[in-house]
Amino acid sequence: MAAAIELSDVTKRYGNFTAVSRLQLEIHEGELFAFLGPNGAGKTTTIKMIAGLLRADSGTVRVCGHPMGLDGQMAKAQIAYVPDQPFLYEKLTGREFLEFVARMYGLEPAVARERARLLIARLEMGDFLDQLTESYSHGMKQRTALAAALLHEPRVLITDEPMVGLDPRTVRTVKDLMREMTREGRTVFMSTHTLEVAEAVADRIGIIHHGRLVAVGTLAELRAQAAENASLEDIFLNLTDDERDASREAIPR
Amino acid sequence: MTDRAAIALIPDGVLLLLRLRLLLLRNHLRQALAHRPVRLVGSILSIVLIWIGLYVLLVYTLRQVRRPVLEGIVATPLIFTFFFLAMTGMLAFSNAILSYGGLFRRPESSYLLAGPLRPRDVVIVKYLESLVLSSWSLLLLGLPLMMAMARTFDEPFSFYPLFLAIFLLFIPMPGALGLLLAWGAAVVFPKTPRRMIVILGLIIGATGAWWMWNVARTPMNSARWLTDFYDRVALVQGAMLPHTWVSKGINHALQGQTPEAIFYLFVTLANALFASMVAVTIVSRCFMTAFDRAQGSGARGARRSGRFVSWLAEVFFAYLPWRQRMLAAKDLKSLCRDPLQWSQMAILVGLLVLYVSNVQRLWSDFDDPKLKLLIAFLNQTAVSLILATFTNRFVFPLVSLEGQQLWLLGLLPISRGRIILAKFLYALTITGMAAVGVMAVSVYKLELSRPLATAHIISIIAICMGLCGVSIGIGARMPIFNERNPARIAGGFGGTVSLLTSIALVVVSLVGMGIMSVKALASDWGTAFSQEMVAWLGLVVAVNLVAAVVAMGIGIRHFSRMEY
Repeated sequence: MAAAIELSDVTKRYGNFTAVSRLQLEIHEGELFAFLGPNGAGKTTTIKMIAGLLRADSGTVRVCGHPMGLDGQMAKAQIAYVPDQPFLYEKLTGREFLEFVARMYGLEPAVARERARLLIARLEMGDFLDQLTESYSHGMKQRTALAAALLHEPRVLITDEPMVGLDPRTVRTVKDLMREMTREGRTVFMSTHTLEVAEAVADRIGIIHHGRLVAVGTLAELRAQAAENASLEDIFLNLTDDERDASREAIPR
Repeated sequence: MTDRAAIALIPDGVLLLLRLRLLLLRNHLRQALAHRPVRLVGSILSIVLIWIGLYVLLVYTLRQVRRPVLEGIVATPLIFTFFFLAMTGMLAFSNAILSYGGLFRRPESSYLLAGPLRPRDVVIVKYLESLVLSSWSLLLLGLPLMMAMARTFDEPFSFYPLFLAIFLLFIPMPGALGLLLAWGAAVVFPKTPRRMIVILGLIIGATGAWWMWNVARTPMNSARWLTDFYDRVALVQGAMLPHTWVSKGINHALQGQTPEAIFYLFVTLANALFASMVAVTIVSRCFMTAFDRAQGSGARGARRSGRFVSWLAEVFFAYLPWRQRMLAAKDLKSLCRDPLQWSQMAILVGLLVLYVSNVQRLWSDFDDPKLKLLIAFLNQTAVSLILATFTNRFVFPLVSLEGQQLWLLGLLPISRGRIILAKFLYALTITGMAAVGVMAVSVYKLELSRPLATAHIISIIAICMGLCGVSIGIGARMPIFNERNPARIAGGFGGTVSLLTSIALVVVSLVGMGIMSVKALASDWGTAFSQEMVAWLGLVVAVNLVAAVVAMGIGIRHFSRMEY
């Protein structure tokens, strides 16, 4: 299976602080990958490097076979990125925003209209789509941003905390949409703190801690790595427990 | 579809983003007309009022300059030179700050750069946007200047299009410099770029002030002064400087020398295009590197102990109960950590101190008590009007800026009225120290009698109290809690009401002080307090006190009842 996202030995520093250290990760086409980690572990930095917004100090990032340098236009045309605080133009209506995004990706108007119609119905956006986005709740903004991201049918969807602020019904819809994408051979890279969501939908899970990838694999593989039949929550807490790490280091061997 | 085919479909980003800007503007105007027509009309009226004020001032200045014919001929081109030199500096720094915010700080940049648009397209549109936003100089200063010239000089009709064209084409040159400054700040000082831009501006401003100080140091009636003056002025009239081309072009247009004016118009056009191309090319090529550095800088913010500011707060607000002192200390820290705020205050106070320190030198018959009183009154007018704009810009938004942490303030074991009172006392302490400092220098330099000096100090404290009360009171009555930008809060309807009320209060206070000054002249030149002087001073104090109490009362009542 071809790799949709490849991170080879990627390191990112902010001054003396190493946010991501020698990250080695390959995510395949048609895979839904959940990226977990405590606050400040390096999740958003990794996501921004994949989206081409930050440059790796060393190592390479490739998306759909194209290098995602800082001007990786070929790679950027294949992806969609939805950050945790989605950006919408406040003085546009949701519909105008979707039209703008369609033009930005060079979609034919008829194709754009049809895709928008399907997404609007699927994400139940019809009631508010013609209001200015400044009046939207967080959930409405998330749904609009997601619809805009899916409009050009990206080969890779990168999303940071996609379920925050959504009602249970929409969470279900988003999960279904992401699963459909992967069935069509497209890839979803999702960062989340909601372990239940990761457990429920992810094909593979990666856990990053202090900028290092401490575990990666399917849930079964992670359980095997942890050598216990634990929940994802237990595995996550074990792998990211600083106090336990410190006490381990303190014990003379 | 292949990847290359997908790329080929991506349209011209500049046109797409410009169309988007027009759509945003249309929606904004429609919304303003539908929901806030009064605010829109108020804003337009305010601009018209400022235009009229500037026009009157410029007509008066140009007529004064032209009165002695020979000096007028010498001085007019110099006025343009200095005007455009000052505009170059102001526009470069305003463009630098706008470009930095637009390119490196707004979430829109991240959104667009994660998409398929070329970084160059984003840079071009942001550059054009900053040029349009900084064109306020044309609207606010250029048009009154053009109309004032029309009133003062007998210029031909060709002056109008030439003036407009030269003025418009001048804007990209400082704009390009500003774009390069913003990019340089992101690359070289990614952690504190805005502060560095502001500090650079302050250094240049201080150098300019020092230069002017040196020009003014020699006695003005000596022949050496004129030689020195021309030597120093020659420095800023270099043939390769943009403001020289613009000022020469306008001067030729003014004198009906159209071919020469057109020559300078094309010099300006060619250089504006060249400067824009160079700036956009440099910034676009290295934009993503600068963006990467600017984004990365936020990962670990600079550590601040805040000990010095906490100590200052303990000293300045020692008279407040500890809870209100904590609130005032928090606001003082916010002020000190926002270079845009403290630098504007420092520039205004610095310029005022420079002016009042040199005021003796501007007048040959300085010993005349009438003149001294007139100058003291004009100084007070300048300080009061600057205070009115300052309180509107920085004090009025204080309550609105608490919007995000209202829940926290609401949970504090302190009444909401006391929170508003703490804001008022904080503002009064800071503005009061600045205003009293400037007025003290003014009355000392003018060698006013003790009663007159006391009256001026008391009145400026009263005006400070009135202005802070009005700004905080109206700010609490008409807060805008969903806005984080103080400039936008001050520019809203509540800010307009506050500004107009403040100006009205200043006018009333100045009328009172003017009458008091006349009464002082009538009673031994103000060497002792007369009953009439005391009465008029008392009236000024009372008016300001009543304004502060009423505005604060309205604000506190509304804020206390507010649900959130």
